[in-house]
Amino acid sequence: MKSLWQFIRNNYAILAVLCVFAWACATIVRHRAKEAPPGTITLRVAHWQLEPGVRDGFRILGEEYQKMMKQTRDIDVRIVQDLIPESTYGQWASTQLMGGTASDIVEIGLGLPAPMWLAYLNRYFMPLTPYVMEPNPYNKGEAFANTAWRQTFTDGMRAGYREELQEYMTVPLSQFNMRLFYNKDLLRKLTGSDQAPPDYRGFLAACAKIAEQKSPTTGRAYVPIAGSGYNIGMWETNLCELATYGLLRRADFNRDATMGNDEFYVAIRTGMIRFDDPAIKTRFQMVHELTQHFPPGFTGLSRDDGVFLFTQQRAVFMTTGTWDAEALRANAKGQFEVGMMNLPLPLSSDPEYGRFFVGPRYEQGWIGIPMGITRTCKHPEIALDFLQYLSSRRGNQEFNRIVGWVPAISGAEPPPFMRGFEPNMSGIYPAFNVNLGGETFIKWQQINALFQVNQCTFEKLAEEFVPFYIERGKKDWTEQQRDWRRGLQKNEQMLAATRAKALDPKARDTEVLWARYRNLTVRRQLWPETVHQAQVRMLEQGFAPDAVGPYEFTPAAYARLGQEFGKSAGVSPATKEGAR
Amino acid sequence: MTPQTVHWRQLRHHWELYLFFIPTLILIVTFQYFPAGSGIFHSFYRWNGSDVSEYVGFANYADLLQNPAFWASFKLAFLLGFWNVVKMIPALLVAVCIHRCVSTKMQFLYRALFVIPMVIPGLVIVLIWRSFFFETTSGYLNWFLQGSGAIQWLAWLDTQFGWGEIFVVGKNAAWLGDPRLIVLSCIIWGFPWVGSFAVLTYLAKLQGIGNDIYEAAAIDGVNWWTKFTRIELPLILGSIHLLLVFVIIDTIKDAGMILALAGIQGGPGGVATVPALFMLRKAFVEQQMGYACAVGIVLMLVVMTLQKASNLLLNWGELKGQQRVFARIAGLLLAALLTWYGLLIPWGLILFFAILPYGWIRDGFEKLNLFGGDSATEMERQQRLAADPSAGSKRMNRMTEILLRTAKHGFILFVLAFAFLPLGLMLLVSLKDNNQFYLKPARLTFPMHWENWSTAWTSIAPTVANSLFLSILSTSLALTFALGAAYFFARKRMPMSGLFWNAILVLLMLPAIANLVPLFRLLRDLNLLNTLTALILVSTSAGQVFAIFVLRNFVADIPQELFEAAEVDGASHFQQMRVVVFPLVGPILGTVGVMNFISVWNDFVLPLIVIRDHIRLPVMVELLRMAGEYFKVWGPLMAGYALASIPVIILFLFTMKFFIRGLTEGAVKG
Repeated sequence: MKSLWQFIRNNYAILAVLCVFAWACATIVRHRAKEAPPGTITLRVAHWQLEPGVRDGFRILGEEYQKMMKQTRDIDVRIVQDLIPESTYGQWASTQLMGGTASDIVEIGLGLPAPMWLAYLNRYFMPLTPYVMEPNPYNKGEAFANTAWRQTFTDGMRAGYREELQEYMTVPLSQFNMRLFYNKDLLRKLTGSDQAPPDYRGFLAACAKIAEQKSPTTGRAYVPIAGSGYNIGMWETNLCELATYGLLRRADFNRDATMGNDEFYVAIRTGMIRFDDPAIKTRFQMVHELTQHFPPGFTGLSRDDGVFLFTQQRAVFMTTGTWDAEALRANAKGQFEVGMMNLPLPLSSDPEYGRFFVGPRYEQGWIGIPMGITRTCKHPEIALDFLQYLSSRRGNQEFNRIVGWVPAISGAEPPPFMRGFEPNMSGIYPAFNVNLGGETFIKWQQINALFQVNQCTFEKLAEEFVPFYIERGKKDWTEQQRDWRRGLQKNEQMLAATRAKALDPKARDTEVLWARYRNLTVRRQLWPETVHQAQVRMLEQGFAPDAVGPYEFTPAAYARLGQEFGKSAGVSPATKEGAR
Repeated sequence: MTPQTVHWRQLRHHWELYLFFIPTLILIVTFQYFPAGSGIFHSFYRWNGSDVSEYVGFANYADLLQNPAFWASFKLAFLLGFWNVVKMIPALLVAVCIHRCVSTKMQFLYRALFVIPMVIPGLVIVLIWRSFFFETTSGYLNWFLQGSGAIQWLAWLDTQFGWGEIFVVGKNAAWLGDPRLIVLSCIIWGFPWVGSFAVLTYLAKLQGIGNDIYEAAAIDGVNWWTKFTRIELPLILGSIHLLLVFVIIDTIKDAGMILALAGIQGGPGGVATVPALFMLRKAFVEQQMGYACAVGIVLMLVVMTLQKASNLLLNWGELKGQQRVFARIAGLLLAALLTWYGLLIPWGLILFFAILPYGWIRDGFEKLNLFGGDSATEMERQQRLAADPSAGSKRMNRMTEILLRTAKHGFILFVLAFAFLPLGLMLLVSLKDNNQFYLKPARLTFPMHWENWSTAWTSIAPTVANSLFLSILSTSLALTFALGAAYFFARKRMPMSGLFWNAILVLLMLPAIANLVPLFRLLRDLNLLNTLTALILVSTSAGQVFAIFVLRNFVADIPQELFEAAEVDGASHFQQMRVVVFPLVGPILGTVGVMNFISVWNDFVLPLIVIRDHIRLPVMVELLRMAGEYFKVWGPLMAGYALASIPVIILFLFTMKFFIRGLTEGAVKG
């Protein structure tokens, strides 16, 4: 006994380390056994939605699904969430996808430039096109029992479709939109009214009034708009950039009614659009005006730091997505009433900005939480099945009830607070898209951050960014086009399969198959290639000084029209300028 | 002891010695040299890490060298390196003050108190600074500036120097949101900058000064300043040099803390982009892996050049005349190059004006040393002491002594208070709910929410277990392999051992981050991604390099007679290791082990990239993820930070004695 005690005394440090090591081993083994019992199919779902409730939504629906699978198909499934914060999501997704260790289902779209995600979708994700035409089995016995899966989405699953790949790639689960939240009590106290001004000038005036007043308890001035670098982006894309809508007419070379980043690059490089165009200047001028009412150094704040001022009742307004609505309400509970409204657009009578704004932002594309199935998924059929479960009318309603969001499936009821948050289906897209990926993306983020915090004027930004964008952007543009062209091989395979089916003498509906073949050939192979070649030509040869955009008419054409109809006043170049 | 040389023809009698080195060799070749080679290879390719690989020759390098952002990142790295050198001063002063405490109990108490805040993981400190100090609207730094009136001085300076209204009375400075302040934020975080390793190294060196020297100095009436400048400072100059080299090189090759503080974009305008962050961005945001490899190679070359230059400067006295001329010409060329390249003009000029009179500057420092290095005789030392005008026979009167003591303890307590501030805040907030935190972030509020600790524990326990498993296992493996390798190098001079030794020395300079991309690919090919095995192998491989470097000297210092006696008794090399070496290297093994443990525990860059599953994450990555949540629940988050620090604090408290002993016996031979 004595010798044992002596041994312990002499070796207490090593014994302590051994005990700790044994505890660590036991804990690791216990947790692993708990997560994946033998014979269980583990389905991992990776997402960045760390808002309150989302984890619960996936967990509860996951547990229901596990139970259902066991009862109906005798399959042991375990749904595990990989929760990755926004700040590291892009880097996490890159490394996991490249390493072949990505989760089975991955949420798409954050932390990397859009072209990069496109390349990843092409390379690492499974196309869902063959399945979206079939009914969702979990809608059996309901109104959508015989409706194609994609038709059950409020947007016809447009948000899951990638034009560039011509495939349905993701399954969206909720729909969002951007709104202006405000502290009704504080607004009333500071401005005398609890209704926020609906127009831009009125809103700026209210902000100025708020900024003049100080809190009686802290002696500090109130901040009109709470937010961080995360929130300012919402103002930019949903309000300020709408001023650029008219530029679409100059550079929508593929005529899809949106400004692609490649189109914007070609337009800027060739001079079709100038960076000092009044519409673009307006975009920057508005950002400048708004950021004066943000907290100092807001770009250095994290997303939750941005909320901090709002919940502390030191800021009146805050713009965020409806995904934050529940959390904002929860934080304000018992303290103040949260109001909600659309972003304040300039009135058409606004002498400075009115001519650039023709309507609010079109919000159909805001159907979110796009979940894709990775090619490395060991059980893609189960992953697909789980996504169908989540996007069934009942499943989607339940998921969004728990999370507090608006469902993405037609007929699914939103939670009571979210009624009235449905997206605006009538509006316009912005036509400002400098996000070409690669170095230009980094440069843009850096220089735009300086502009946002008033450390750089528009002139300086343009002087520094535009030459860089034009010069270095060529490399990024080429890279993006290369990535897109790699997808052509896949299209050839699909075309060959469609043609083989059509040529099969036993095949039915051969006319439909041939129509699909021709359609695919034109839309996937010929038209994109034509657009690509056109862009190459434009980059190589440039534009003539008097060149016009795809939807515009040359002065000569106007002249001919005038001669023909004899009323040149109605279609004068002045009108054309106005339309821009 | 000079090891006996074994020739090729004698190899059959001693071949088994290679067995001691084989595990090390396998690990360093696989996880250090192969990725480095792969990095060099891929740096000539346009490579996205996946399906695009196209030979482009030197295009990546050409593009890189013309990239102003890359050079700007070096400019920042040098600036931060300079400040990191300045930041060594508080640690030095603290060590001297603790060492000067007459009471050994007070010394022990201070040492123990300093250890606690010092060993809190750097990441935790960064996150606390980010959330509490730098926060614009209600951060403590702004609160202090406004409350103390310091903002008025700053605002005055702002007006005088035209800083552009960074500091305005009544307005909060945007520390992390203003491009003009972000670099300053990168400098001041972690105040008062008393790193554990530095303080303990200085303390260990200072303990080597015998009492008789102080007694002799006291008899001669040497005042406190002369004691510092003529006795203590010269003795620890070696350690300062060594730490200085580490600090500068670390600044260039490390991106972790900047990543945590300013994000991968390097803050607003990307102003806080250091070279390693530039590389990470190229690799994992822009997906230009080949380009990132080229950045890694350039980083490696710069670090190696700096290492070589520092060695040259440290051993200036031993250089021959011709070598000095050559070194000066090389320095002048480098100065001309830096000056020619616009962004680095100040550094070029500093180098230009320092390179020619370097010998005189160094000689001046040498003369400061009362002991004149090893070569000075006792007579010379006495003469130097006598010749020192400040070391006159002025005896300190009682009043001065009391004042000095008060100042000493006051300084220690001041630094301690600041060092404990993040820890205090962490504990304070860990007992609050969100409402309490929003309303009174810095005051004790009731009721206290102790349940936050259990919530945090439930959340991070698996990751703490992973970190413990990882740190203990990789430290044990690293020490085992390193001891074997040290025995191999120290016992005999085997054929090719010189080559192997140089290969290990090169690894000391190799920035690990430069190999990150090829290492990731290697781990993927070995099917080791998302496994703790990957982290264990890589950290063992990296950890053993420094351990071999330290242990080799210790094994070499063991008297040859002991080995010979064992050999006469028929002991094999394995038995000699067990019976002779192992019992004698205990303290140094402990020291190196603690350092390795802390390094593995604190690492988060590799696990962030390699590990996917939550149940496999080390605790540091989990903390980073917790800090990234929206609508943070502050109480459990801070409790989590505290829980993640506890194992390291306990480890240090238990092993501090060994650690100091190991250092005193020369773990860091300066």
